[in-house]
Amino acid sequence: MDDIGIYEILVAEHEQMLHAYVLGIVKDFYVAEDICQDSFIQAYKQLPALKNKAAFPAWLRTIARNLACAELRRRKFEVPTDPEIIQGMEDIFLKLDVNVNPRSWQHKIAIVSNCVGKLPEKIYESCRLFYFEGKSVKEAAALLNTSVVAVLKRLERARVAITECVSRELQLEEI
Amino acid sequence: MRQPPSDFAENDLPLHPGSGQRNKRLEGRMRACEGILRTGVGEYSTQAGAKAVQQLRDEMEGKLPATRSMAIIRMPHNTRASHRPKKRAGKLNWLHWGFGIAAGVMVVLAGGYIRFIFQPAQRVEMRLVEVKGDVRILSSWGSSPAHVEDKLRPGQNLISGNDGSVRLDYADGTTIELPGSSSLVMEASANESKTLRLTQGKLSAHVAPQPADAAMIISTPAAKIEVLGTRFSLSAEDRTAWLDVESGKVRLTREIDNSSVQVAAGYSCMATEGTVLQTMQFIKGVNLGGRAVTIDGHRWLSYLEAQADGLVIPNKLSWWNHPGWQPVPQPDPEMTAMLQSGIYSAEAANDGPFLLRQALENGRYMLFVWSTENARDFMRSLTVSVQGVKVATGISSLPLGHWRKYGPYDAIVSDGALTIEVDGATKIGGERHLCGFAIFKSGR
Repeated sequence: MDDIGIYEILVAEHEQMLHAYVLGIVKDFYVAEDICQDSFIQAYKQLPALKNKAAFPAWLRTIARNLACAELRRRKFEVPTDPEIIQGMEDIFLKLDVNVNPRSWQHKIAIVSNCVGKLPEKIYESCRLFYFEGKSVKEAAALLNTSVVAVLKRLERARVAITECVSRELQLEEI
Repeated sequence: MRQPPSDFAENDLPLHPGSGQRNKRLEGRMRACEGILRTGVGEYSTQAGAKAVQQLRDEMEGKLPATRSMAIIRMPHNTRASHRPKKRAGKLNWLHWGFGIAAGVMVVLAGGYIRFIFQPAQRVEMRLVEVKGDVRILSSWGSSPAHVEDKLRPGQNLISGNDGSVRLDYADGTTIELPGSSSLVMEASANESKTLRLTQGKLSAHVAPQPADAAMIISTPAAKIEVLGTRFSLSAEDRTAWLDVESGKVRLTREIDNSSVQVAAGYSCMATEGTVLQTMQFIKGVNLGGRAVTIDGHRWLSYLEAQADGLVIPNKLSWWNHPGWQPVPQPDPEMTAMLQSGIYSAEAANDGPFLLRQALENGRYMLFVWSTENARDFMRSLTVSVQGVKVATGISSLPLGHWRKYGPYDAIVSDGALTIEVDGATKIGGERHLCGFAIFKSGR
């Protein structure tokens, strides 16, 4: 097998993780996909410089973060370069890198989906429509027969609750 | 499955994480969770990795200039966000509309044509549908236990331990079964063909019809087979490959000299050094000392059936049958049953020389024999003579618990019987023994 064939395995193992990470920065599925694509290409070209192969996921995220921030700057969006924000993201992803069940991304994120399942009914419904079914906030509000503001508040509450639940499940230090 | 609400009550949940350094960290964690929510839990599926690999391949093959950082190459399969159409504001007159439609048609046609030319390679994956015992998936970055629903991807190596077995399938219905002590590597292929490498052990396959220009290829250290749709089993040792075809046809090519042969249904072929590459037809198999078994799709006679079917034991011999004994490496249950029994010449029991005589039509045959070591390491070193001619020496010198198949030994029968004699040196307590034998006739 050639080098790219071997790299393809590595890519397959990390593409969902990386996409999730970049989506946490840029919030747009297709922009995140572009950035991931470029990240994998850059990583392949810089791979000989990586000394510790166990650090590959974190190293890949650094490449992706730099590309994502550059893209946000280009689009004149606020860029989340605060070290604390980056550290907060790494808190979660580093734990998932070494999660007890290393088989697949789907298994690793069971913690997140379990936390979603624990949300109160109304908040869960808003999350389901927005995150899982791809509805806009306006569409979700119409389907739930409520206001856009209410859906936005529920989503915000959901994000905080899920984050706290995931932090607990991953035994992250309290902040 | 949606779980009932438990941990949170809606109004208890905070609306904002607050402010300050502490909450920037929390915001980071929120961003991480939100990213996971958006990509992992929902229905989205990213293709970024596949596109990146395709772009790297295209660069390597010279189809594209090398890229650096965000210098993006416009590929038809590269559906970048920057390519997505933007809404245009303002009114357009009929001329604009005409040009727009014409340009659109041109772009669609050109895009379709380029997409046709640069069709990205299909990802051929196998799914594990049944896993028993110790089975692991090895990739270049480590190994992990295999589970049902795992996928085997190009470059990954599936290894079944002594007590392990696994069944896999492709999306087209092709199934592969791997018994214990086997190692299978999925290889990347340029087209849609399924490409596997059996580095050790055995596999049984039921291959759905494949496209004529994309035959399934399975290689072993000694041979390569090409399959367009059939049922067969293949086993591999260091320098030997053994193929049994149950239905359809399989082309086998020997690695050492690139000689090839087409093996039809009901025929077998062995690829090894120093023999003529030819197909063989199973004639008879006998499980010495044990019950009837089915090995590689062929029914072997029990010891009693064989004696009623022309097997003569002229001298007194003893037999054993130890159903609890487990051979190493562990084969499938039927082969295991065959190896758990045998006949032997025990001096302590006043047995005579080890001699078998099997009635057969006159002709040219090939003989295989199976032996184990069930007493101590390297207890014996046996000699086999067929039709009075010594054909093998030093066989059955094995570590304790191990087994091996020996042959083929050429035999010309001209008097209606094939004779097999086993002699040789054994340590104290060791006997001359065999577990079973199989006779094949040269195929077409």
